[in-house]
Amino acid sequence: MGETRAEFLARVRDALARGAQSLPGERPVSPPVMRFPPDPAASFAAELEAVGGRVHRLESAAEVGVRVAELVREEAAGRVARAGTPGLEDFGLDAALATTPARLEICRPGAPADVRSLADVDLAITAAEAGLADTGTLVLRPGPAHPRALSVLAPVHVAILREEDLHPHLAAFAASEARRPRHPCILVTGPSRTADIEMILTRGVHGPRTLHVVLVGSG
Amino acid sequence: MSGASTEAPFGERIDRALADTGLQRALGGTVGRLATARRDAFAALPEGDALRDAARAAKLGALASLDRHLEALARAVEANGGHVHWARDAAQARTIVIDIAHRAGAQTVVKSKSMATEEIALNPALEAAGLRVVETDLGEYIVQQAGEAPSHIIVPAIHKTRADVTDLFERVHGTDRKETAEALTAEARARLRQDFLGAEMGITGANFAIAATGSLVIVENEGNARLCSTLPRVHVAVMGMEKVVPDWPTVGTLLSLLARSATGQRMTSYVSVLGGPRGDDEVDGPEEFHLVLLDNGRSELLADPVLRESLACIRCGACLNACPVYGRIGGHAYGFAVPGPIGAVVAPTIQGTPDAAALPFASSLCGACRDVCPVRIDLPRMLLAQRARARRGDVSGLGRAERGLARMAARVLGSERRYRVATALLRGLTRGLSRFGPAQRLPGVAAWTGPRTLPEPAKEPFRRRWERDRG
Repeated sequence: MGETRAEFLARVRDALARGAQSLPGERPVSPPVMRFPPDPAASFAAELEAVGGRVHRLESAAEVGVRVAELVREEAAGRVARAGTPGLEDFGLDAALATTPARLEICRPGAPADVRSLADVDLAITAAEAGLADTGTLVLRPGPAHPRALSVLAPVHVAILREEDLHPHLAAFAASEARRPRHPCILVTGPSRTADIEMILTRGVHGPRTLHVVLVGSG
Repeated sequence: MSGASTEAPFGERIDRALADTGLQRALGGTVGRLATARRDAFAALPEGDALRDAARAAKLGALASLDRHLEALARAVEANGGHVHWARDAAQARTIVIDIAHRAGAQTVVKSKSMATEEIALNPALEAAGLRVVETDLGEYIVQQAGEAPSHIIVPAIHKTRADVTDLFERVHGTDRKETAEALTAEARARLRQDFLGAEMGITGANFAIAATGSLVIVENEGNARLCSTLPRVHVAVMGMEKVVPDWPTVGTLLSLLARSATGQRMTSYVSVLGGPRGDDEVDGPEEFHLVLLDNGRSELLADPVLRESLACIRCGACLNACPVYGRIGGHAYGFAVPGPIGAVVAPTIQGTPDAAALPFASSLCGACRDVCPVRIDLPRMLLAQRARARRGDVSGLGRAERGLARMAARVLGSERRYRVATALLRGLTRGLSRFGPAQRLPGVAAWTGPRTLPEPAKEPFRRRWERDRG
């Protein structure tokens, strides 16, 4: 079959020893300090919209339910699924969504996700654990009530992100993640896209064609 | 389908590519656009140069302790509940993956784009073992349906026009003609969705693996890698051993450069950071995870002081887009999974065929590749090193004329008198050739003089002017 770890690594060590004869020692070079966007929320919104995402800025959590219900109507979503993450409960989503014609399912912790069912969902709602301001990137953290597949199968994904959870940039997020790494973690920057056919940009190849981010201030 | 087929010698493949007007048209627009997008992205990134310096140092540093990082990676993956397999070469890697598939009872495999799996010619082996293999990256799906190999590491179907894809889908899907990219994409999405939901096994590559955490980092725009690594019960990742990096900060630096270098995007749509199988508190994800680490000649590159830095490559494709040779002959002509300058550097060692040994010679050493490489790999230096190795290995392959010329040059350059006589003769010859047009098309010299404008030599040699003006 394959080699053992010992055999494989012995060959690597031997190669390193052979190659090291005339190589200068590697000097580490610190990465540059990346610019902080002066207005992280504005930067996030501009960057994400530049790559085809839609950003809805709200002053406070109280407005989220109404806005998400508007998006559900706008997207004419018949079946909506949301993650059952505790953080999402604060936004009064279920009451607001009850005013729309959509049927709502909530992902429960512990219950294995019914993937075929998720594949028929028109619109998925998740929280974003964090965001990256300089690239308009969401940090999704699938877990007990947040299936990995939820945010990639539905054609429309609505993510709710608090402004206070914005990192300035990827380097800051990487440093934070290094201190407390958890799997999995999905970085999302815009809708699914491809230019594989004659470099013509098309959206919604395998993942969502539309990404809405509701960006909530602390007002 | 593997790109390692060598049905015709390299020279013939080049001629075929140059004569292929469809390919020339397809390459003409797209490669330039990618190169421009990259340039614009770096123009908007003041930290670009500093990031590239840091990235190069980080990759070379990681390579210098590759054994330690691989060991740490394996331990972390196993602690997360995954399995690690060690493949000395392509044959072992194929056997490992087929064995995993058989033990898992898999019948259909969904694959996302992976140069490592192209390099080991995995798909034909899986099919021969009775599995149905579905490429899910749109470009890879297109070339798979067409029975071809990918021709670019970022845009696999770059050589196909939209009309080509319209014809192809009509033929293989049996549906009515879709003329727009949007409609073609939607058709592929609908068909592939069924395969994602039904496949027992998903195979991906990995852009990086983090030794400290046992994480796999997969970068993409479409979402198919997310689906391949989430929906099937078994997830197999095949990765070149050089892709392991020590920690998260290194990944941050490299990710800041990868998409910009490849397509000019600041970030790709999705970056998945995976720990292996479904976590204890997760509700979906694969039940089984396997990481196949691939050597396949990389340790030979590692052992060579000059060639080692080729392993710093993050497979962004920027060198392909900058290369005037790639831009004219496309990826298939190289006959190796990874084409372009980096392919020409590593193929002679990884593939090891006489055909692969010819690749480094198809270069003018213009250095455009080195200028754009995000980790500042000195590609021209390594092309020269591979040329030297090719010659050292087999001097009998050198033509008698070439050996004779080399001996003559040594004698002429060894004596000042002979040198002056030779240059006087050359002056006369060049003047004659440039004045008498048809001489440029003489057989033997036509290959060199045909596409070049011969310069008119100076009236008197600089040496004489110097002696006269100073004397």
